[in-house]
Amino acid sequence: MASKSLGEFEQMVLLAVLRRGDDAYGAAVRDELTENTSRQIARGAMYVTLDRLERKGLLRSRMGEPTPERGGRAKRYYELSDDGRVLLRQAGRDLMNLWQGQESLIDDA
Amino acid sequence: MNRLLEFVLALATGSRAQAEGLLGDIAEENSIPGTTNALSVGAVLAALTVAATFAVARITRPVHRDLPRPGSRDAMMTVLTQELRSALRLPWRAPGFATAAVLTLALGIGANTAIFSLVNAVVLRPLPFPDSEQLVRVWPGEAMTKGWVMAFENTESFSALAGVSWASATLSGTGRPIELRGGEVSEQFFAVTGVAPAHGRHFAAEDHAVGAEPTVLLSHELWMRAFGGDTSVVGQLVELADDDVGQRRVVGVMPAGYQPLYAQWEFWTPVVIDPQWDYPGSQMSATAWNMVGRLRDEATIDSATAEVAVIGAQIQESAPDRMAESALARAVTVPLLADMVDDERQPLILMLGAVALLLLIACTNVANLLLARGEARRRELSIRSALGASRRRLAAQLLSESLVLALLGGALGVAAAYGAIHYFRRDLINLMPRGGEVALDVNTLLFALAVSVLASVVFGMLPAIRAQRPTADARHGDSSEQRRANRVLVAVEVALAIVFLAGAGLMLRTLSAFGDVDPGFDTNGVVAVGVNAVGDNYDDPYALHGFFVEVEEEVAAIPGIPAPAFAMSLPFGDGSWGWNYTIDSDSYAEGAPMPNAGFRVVSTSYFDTLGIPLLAGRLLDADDVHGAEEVVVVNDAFARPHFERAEDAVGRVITLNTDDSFRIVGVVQGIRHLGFRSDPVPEMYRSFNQHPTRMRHVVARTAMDAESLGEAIQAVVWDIDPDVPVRDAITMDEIMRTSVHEARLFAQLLSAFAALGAVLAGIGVYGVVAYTVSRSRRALAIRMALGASASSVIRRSLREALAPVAVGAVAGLAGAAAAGELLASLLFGVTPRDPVTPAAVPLLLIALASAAAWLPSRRAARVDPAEVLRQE
Repeated sequence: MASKSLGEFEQMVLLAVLRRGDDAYGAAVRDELTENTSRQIARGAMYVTLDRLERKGLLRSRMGEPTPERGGRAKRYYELSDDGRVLLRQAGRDLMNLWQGQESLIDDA
Repeated sequence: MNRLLEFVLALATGSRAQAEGLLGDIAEENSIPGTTNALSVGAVLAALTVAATFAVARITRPVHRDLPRPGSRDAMMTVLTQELRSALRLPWRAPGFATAAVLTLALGIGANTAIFSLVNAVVLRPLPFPDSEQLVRVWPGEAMTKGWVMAFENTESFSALAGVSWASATLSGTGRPIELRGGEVSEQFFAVTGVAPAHGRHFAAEDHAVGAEPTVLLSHELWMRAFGGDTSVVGQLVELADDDVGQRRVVGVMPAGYQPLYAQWEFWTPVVIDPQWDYPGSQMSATAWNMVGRLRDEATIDSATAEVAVIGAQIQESAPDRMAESALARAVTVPLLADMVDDERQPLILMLGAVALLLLIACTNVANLLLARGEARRRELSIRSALGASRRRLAAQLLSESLVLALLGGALGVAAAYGAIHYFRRDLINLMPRGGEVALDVNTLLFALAVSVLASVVFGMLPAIRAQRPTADARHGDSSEQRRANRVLVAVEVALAIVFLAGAGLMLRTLSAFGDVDPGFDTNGVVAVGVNAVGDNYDDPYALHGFFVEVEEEVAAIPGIPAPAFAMSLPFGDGSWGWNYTIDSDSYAEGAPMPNAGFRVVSTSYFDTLGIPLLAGRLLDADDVHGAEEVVVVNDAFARPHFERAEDAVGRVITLNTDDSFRIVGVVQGIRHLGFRSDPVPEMYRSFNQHPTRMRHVVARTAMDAESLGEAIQAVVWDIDPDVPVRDAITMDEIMRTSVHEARLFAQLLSAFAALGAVLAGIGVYGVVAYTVSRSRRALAIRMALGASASSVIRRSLREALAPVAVGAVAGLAGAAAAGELLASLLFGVTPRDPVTPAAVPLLLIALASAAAWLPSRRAARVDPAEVLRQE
């Protein structure tokens, strides 16, 4: 798995899925991203990324319960696979290591 | 819509679960409060955007070529999916080429889809009635009368058979009086169509009895418009007046959209037939009757026709003066649908043919594009071939690319067709029966898909076959076989271009002829306003006469209307009743047909107002009053068969078969009353003063605009009687335009398609010729290196290029002649064998092809031969 790497947006999507926990379906993940980042999250790009992460084996998905406000359609819930956790942890560590001592950049902004 | 979106998303993402989750998310984020299932426009757009993103992501995803064991089923599928995937990336690899090809195909496929949707809606789809294939129109050979309908009851072939006739009436008491069109029907009419009223009941046998209370069934549309959809109107008396009846009781309301004969009727009334009539033909009805029937399960069209003929013979026996024996041979039973759309079938089929040719041209052009591109890709294909790709595999690659191009073109074409249908929908409703039902339904979409796939084979085949011979070295130019293929392409393009240009020429000249036709009078500034005096007040002819005289006086007093006139019927809109007559009591041989002429009642100023020239004798004047000698004015079409000169007709006496006699006092020029296509028919004009019948139109020549004239006349009429309906004013030019509306639209569409086809074919001819010549640059260079002069080289390449053009031109002229014959029924003012168009068209194309050949060969001749040879 070490050969796999994560793009920045992929990392953000994985984190959003992680933060949402049991409630990580498409619309919720998008909310999470929109609320916590400065980005405009294009719907299509996010879904394609979720799809790609699942193909890479970093996410798993299951169909949930249909609800009336969704026109009776089921939710598709995502969660991190073991590979996904390993890779995300590694990416987070790498980033934190690089950030060490540079935190003032964030505070200045 | 939801299902369609889900399908599109599943297609784009490759997973139904994925699609469901996605659409659910989008619905949740865009939900409209209070609704649970409807998607907003925003949601639909969002879903489409996501689908597009997925599609792009999938297409651009790298293809992994892990080949399974060759020859296995898996291998075939893998090859196919791999080639398709790689082909899907074509538009990104060669955007210019792909755009040109896709747009060309979209044009062809879109035109085919749009016209097919029309054919599908009008001709192919069953009528909206239960077991509609059992519905037939019955025609005993002669115009039906009321009484004859009785003779057709209790037949063996029909489970129900009904007579139906056009009726008009005035509805008052619901705001300003309105004129309505409807149908007068016999007892089994609703049993024939098999549709129950939405409210109330059908007519029962009692409603058709002599002395029964007059009743009416309303259309859903009239019920909503005039009564606000109030169910309590059922059972009420309404002020629905016609010539015989002042009020009718509403017995029911038909369901929305119920229009069995597509006549946009607003009410139905029960015909009253007196069973005491001695023989079926004894009741001369003023209106022509149509019969519609429903066949029994075991009956066929043939058995029904045979039975109709037998009944017809009985009628003929009992009423020989009403029905000629020869009429029996014309007795037919035809499927109702076929009968209704009879007039539309031929133009529609012609248009399908035109768009099919258009697509063929589009395919030829794309094939040419592919061939040219094939040169550029020869290297790529050679490398694949060298690396072990089989010929079949290379052909699969090229055909996959063709399929992708065709499907993209098809998708764009369907979108364009959808737009066109919506744009023209309003016109189509008024234009032809069932025109309002045109839609992109499943049939049409399947058709578009089939056409796209077929097109991909047509234009992809030649380049694919050619790619099978990658060994033909580019350095040696084209093989003789390839040159032959090119020549065929040129000839086909030229032939198609000629057919299209000739067709466009004929249709354009038809269009201009519609504008040039002489109606027989001066339409400039003539405005007509419908005034329909009906009801008890006007049953008395003198009351009627008095009303119109008063209206005439008041209208004449309006400033700006010099000479108002009245007419029973208008040119280009209304027919007239035909009457048999004799002149000076000439006797006619037994069984020989008596001459027949139309009968029109007009006010004395009618001829002056319309500007109809007097040819002999005098016009109707103020002295032709009740009590004076009964006189008529006839037109030249009436006089011509009987008299050498128009003057000879003046003074003679006409006797109608009703034994009424009139003296001819004048002959006027004929008007094309029945429409553009028919020459003036024999007609007689009687004075309103001698024959106070129901007048329906005020006609005036004025400088005022139609609308204010209409309002002024309306005010005058309502001042005299507020219960008389007055229609909006209409100019004679407008009436003329409307009368050729359908013919004009077909002509416009066909000339548009033909012009498009001609342009495409022109581009194609240029492209193929220029391509072929540029392919032989090497040969030109060698000739020049060997000492040939530039001009002789150019001459030679022109000669070679023009040979297939000439072949195509000959084939095209034959095709154009055939197309002209096919178009004959749609032409006007120009004959199918019109010499101008075919002569001009080939010259145009030869000039085009010469330019296409000359430019590249001149370029080749100017360049240093060594340079060309090195390059190649």
